[in-house]
Amino acid sequence: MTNDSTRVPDDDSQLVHAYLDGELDPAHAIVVGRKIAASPALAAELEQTRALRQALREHLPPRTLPPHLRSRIRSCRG
Amino acid sequence: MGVGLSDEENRKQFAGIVVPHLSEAFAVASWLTGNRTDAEDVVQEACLRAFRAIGSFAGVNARAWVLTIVRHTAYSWLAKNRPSEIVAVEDFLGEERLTEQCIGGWSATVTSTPETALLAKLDVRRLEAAIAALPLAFREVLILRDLQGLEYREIAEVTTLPVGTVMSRLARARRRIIGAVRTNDA
Repeated sequence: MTNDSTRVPDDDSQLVHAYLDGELDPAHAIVVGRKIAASPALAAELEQTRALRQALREHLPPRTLPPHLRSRIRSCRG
Repeated sequence: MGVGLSDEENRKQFAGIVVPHLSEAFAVASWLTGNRTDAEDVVQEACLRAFRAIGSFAGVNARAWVLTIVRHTAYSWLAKNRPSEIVAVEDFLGEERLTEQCIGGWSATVTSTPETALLAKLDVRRLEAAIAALPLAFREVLILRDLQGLEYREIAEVTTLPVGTVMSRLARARRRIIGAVRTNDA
């Protein structure tokens, strides 16, 4: 497989992200799902993006509001 | 400006609309400014703006309304304190096309790509550094989607971008992080 044959149109590649995020309507999702099944490059992008989303969710500690800021805002504004 | 509302009514509205989203406001501000101290300034200022504008809240999506104000405030803060952060997004797109040409597109290996394995064991500091290195225009979309969990249409509302642009920037942001992981490990 040459480099050129593994390249995918940018639009299709973006739709993989929308597919993973559950942002496509059902009809669109079926079409994109088929494209992913037929394209190793799109399938790889799906897997990498899924792994990234999981890493972001599981590895990053939440940035919590400092308690003094919450009380300052509450006392000023009600 | 809270037209027609008494101060007491404004306070009640603020407590109901803004206060439930303070934690999220702080998280977004800290990712946009890059640190907690600056984020505190931004959140305080954003709360002031929200309080003054509380009467203009249309009553639909308080979370998006609050985050829109936080984003505006963060942009004002950055324009004043770190103007180099606010760069036209087109500047990055040309550079990105070149990079993609150089690395020859995406890996065609389906299962367990090296990037997937790297991402699974990536430590917090490297992940945070990769996010911080994203241009602001991409970073904000990634944060709103992957850390705060907003839907595309909500991100479009907060950033005043078309949904299609949200989708393309999100894809680019994620690819940049995956690319950074690959580069760092090479």
